[in-house]
Amino acid sequence: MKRIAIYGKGGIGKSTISSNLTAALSDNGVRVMQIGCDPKHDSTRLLTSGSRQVTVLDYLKEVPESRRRIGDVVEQGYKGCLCVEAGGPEPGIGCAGRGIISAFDLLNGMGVNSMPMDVMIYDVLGDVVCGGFAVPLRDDYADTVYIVTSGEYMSIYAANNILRGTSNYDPDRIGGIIFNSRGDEEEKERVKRFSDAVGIPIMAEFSRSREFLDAERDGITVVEAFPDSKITGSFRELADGVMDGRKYTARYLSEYELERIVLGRSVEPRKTYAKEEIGIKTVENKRYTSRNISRNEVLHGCAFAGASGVAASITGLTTVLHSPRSCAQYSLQMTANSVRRAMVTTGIPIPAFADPTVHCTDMDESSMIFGGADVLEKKLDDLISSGNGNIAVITSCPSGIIGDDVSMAVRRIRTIHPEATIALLQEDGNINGDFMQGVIDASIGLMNDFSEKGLEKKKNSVNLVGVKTGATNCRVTVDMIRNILKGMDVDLNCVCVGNTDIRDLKDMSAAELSILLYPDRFALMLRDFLIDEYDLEFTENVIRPGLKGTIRWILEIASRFGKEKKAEKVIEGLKRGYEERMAPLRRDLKGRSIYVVGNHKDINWIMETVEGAGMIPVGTVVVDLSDHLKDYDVDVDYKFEMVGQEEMDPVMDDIRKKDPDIILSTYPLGLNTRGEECFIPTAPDPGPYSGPEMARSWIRKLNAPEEEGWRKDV
Amino acid sequence: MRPKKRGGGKMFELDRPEGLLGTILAFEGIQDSMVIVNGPTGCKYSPASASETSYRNRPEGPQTFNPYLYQREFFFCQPRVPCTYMDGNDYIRGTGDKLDRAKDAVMELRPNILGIVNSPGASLIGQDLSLSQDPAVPVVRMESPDTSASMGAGFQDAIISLLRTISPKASKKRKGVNLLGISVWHLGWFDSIRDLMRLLALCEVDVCMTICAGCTVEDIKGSGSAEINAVVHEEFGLRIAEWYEKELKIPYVNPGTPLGFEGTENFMTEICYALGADPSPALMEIKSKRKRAANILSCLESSRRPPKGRTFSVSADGSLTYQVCRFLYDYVGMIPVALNTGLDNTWKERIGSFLSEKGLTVSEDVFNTPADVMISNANMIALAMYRNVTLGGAAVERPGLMNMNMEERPVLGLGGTVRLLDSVLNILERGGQTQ
Repeated sequence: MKRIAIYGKGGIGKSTISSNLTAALSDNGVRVMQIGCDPKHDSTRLLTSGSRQVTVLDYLKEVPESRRRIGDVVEQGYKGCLCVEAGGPEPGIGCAGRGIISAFDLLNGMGVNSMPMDVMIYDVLGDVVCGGFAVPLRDDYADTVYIVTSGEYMSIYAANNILRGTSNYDPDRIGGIIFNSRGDEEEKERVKRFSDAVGIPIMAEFSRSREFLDAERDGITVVEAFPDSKITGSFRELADGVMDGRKYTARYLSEYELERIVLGRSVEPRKTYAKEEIGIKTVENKRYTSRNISRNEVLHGCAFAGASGVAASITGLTTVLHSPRSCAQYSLQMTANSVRRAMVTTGIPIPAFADPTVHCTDMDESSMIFGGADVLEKKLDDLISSGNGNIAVITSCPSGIIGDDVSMAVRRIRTIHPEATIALLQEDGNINGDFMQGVIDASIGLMNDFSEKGLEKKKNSVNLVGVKTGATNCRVTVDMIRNILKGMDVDLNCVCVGNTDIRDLKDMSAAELSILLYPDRFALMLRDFLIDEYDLEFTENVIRPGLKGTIRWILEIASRFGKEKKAEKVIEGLKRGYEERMAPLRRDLKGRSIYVVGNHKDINWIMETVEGAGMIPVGTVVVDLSDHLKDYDVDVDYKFEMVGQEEMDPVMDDIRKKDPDIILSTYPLGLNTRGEECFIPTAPDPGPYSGPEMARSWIRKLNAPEEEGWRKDV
Repeated sequence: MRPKKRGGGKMFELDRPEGLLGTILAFEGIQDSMVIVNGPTGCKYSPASASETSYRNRPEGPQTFNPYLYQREFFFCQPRVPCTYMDGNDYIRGTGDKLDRAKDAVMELRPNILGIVNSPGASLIGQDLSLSQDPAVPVVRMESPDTSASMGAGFQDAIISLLRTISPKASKKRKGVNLLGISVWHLGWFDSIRDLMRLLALCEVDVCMTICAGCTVEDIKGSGSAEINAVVHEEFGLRIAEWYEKELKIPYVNPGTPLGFEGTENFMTEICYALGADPSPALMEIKSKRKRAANILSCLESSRRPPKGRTFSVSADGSLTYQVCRFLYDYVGMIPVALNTGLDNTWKERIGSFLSEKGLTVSEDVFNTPADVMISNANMIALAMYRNVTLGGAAVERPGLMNMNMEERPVLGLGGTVRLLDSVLNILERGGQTQ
């Protein structure tokens, strides 16, 4: 079977030529199927006496898979030729290119290739604007490509683009150029020059004729209406050429060559102007970004998943994921799994994650072709009508790629349901950034929509800003901080943003003071935003692990609220607890050597433990991982060397050379040395006791056999 | 039990694995294959992690996210499922030469087959998966994986594409069977296969290959030598069996998932009869376990604690739900109160017929219907326990309740049946907890 694709600029006459070619082939007894690949779905109407048939994509939308049959979308036309229309979405909605892909998948799935055929003709929309319209060019589809062009420059420009598109696949399958003249005297010469330059012959030439108009008026082809005419003769010759099947290699011209050869002029490079000359001022685009985004690094994870994790962690908030089910499943599994399973094993539930209120619009093929905004709108209407008044909508990459107008959908719902609050987090998968960007965007977006500005301040109250959603110790952390604050008669106003209640988020601006939990990029961006938009006051010190760090923030808060006396008492208790934990450590660790390979710049809590236990640090390295602490100038009292991820080999060599008793790292280093490999928790508990707690595990490891028996069985 | 007010989310549907994961894990289930996700890193982290945790002894080992050891391009700290890290620009211009470079990086690991799978976004822009130069091994391209389909559908799509690419040949028949329709995602898949192989071996039936669940490319190439195919989970294997029947004229049996005494007996009997083998040795072994179970159940009865009349709910794939329901109802005498197979209407109808034959009606709302025991996965059980609608649960699907199993813990076969019975009875006895 021959498979040919007819390409050309929109409105150039591809459908007329395809239909007449089909008719000419059918007259010769050739079994032809013509597939129209234009959302206008009018490719085959001259073969079916003008009747409009069911398009493949309408069929896909309306008929369930189990009831689909190929015969429902194939119509018999002139002399028994078979006619199919792919169809497509309304202009301006959905994705027509995706429609072509889906239509072809569906036709294949329904067994179109098993139908008796000698030639299949794909009549393809306009230029090769995207991957979807290039489908017929692929190996599994057309084996020969014909290009229809007039002598107008833009038509030849499109023809050149089609050659460029074909050269990306198998280039040796251009059947020729079909010249459809518009009546301009010079145009034949232009097409000829183009044909010579790209080395592809003009297979057929058609001129404007009354016969085309008369046949079209009757809803039939010229071949059928005027079987003995000159034009019909040309189509018969073209049909013979198609059956002959000679092919040429796609060669295309650069834009400069095209203009020179076709228009006969060379173009001077355009003068570029300094921005100042044309009055454009440089405006700083202030955006709260992840480190990967700000540095244009590889995106790790997607903003959709990051935003989903934050929103799903908030009690009283309904999260609507505008995405395929796979995106929703990945995001929820990643953000909620460990927390929910920890509930079974530890018995500590984290309410929002334990039973998240998450819905998905389940974008499928149909939504991607015809647009999914209406499905989202209905989902929001249903949810609000059933009592969900606080909603976050998060968009995935398919929604962004097809340009779904979700903001319009949300605006309409806000008009219908003014009582509801809807935060639209238009992440568009990873189009808007990486996982951390989504976390930042969601936090800021939710505060924008839910946190009231300028509330009356609650006396002696503090916001905790930068709480991580995915960490299993998040509840323990918040409880510990709340207790310390309580000891000074200070209230924790709002946990911001993850693992909180939406009602607390509403009162966020009522706190007198705010403090960051861990100084990472996420927390820093939130701090900048809250200062810019809510004029909140922040402490200098941040909440971090370690005794010294803990004392610093306690003293600052105490000083701000005049609670110094109470703070003294709290600190005294913490110091006592710290010393009780450190004393037994010294017995076992004093004089032991240790090499630290962390990935957080804040190594104070580790090194104060090392120092307090009387250990000998032989190396202290911080590996710079994305979105960790390199950007933050945290006050560190100990020296360390910062290395990039790609600079690990010299670090490994140094560890081997120094051969420490303990190698402390965040991730396994895969070293086979005498030293005991111990690990730094990825999210250590803030507070004074994280260091001694970690050091206890070193002693346990040192007391264990040097080599466990199982290693011999590996 | 007084159920708590529900959260209102459709967690059941969203927690269930889907077609894209099924497609990727089909490739990951082959020992010597590699699969590249042509898409963002967000579409690779979760499947790579799923592969690491479900197929721990795959050649790359169980090492998970480690920025110090697996930091290189395309892999991004995980040893499995490399990706082309599509970003916003790539959605406009395509992934360009990244796919070719990813292929080169992957081929250094010497796989015997390469799968390339488009992410939803890549599929949407019609990203072509052809390479500038194909490697020396077969390449299976999945340009439009069905991201909203069930996991079983995605799994089967990938395997059928893979079979078309590899083209196993029908060869001299041996008295053996291929097991179709169990994936590395299935909880306890390795132990389940061993359990079934052991019972079949008693009947002198050889398992030639278990497709995409620990097999090699060579195994798949030689799969045409089996005399019959047997479907383990219909939603994961029936279409594959039909493909073998059509293309290689290998007949298949579809006796139902081998779970429950009767379910396992049927599985063994149908395979043996199809091969002309004697199922008696396997049936004898099952009988001895039946005897032991009956003794325990009668002890419980004599101490006035029979499971008869106690309630259960199931939230799992249809083939499992059906067999669990039959086993606990027919054999143990427990009453199903809520059953949910997700979006699978075929199984919904079959289960409906079974229930109406027995005069039973059940709810689909497993999370708001109190039941003594819930049979599902750890996430679902956690959610049900949090809502206080069940005393405890037994896991038959991933994620399981135990991360590490030193003991063999099959979900299917005779071992799986005994394990399920143990779990259910102990939950009822203790008045709670999970198994």
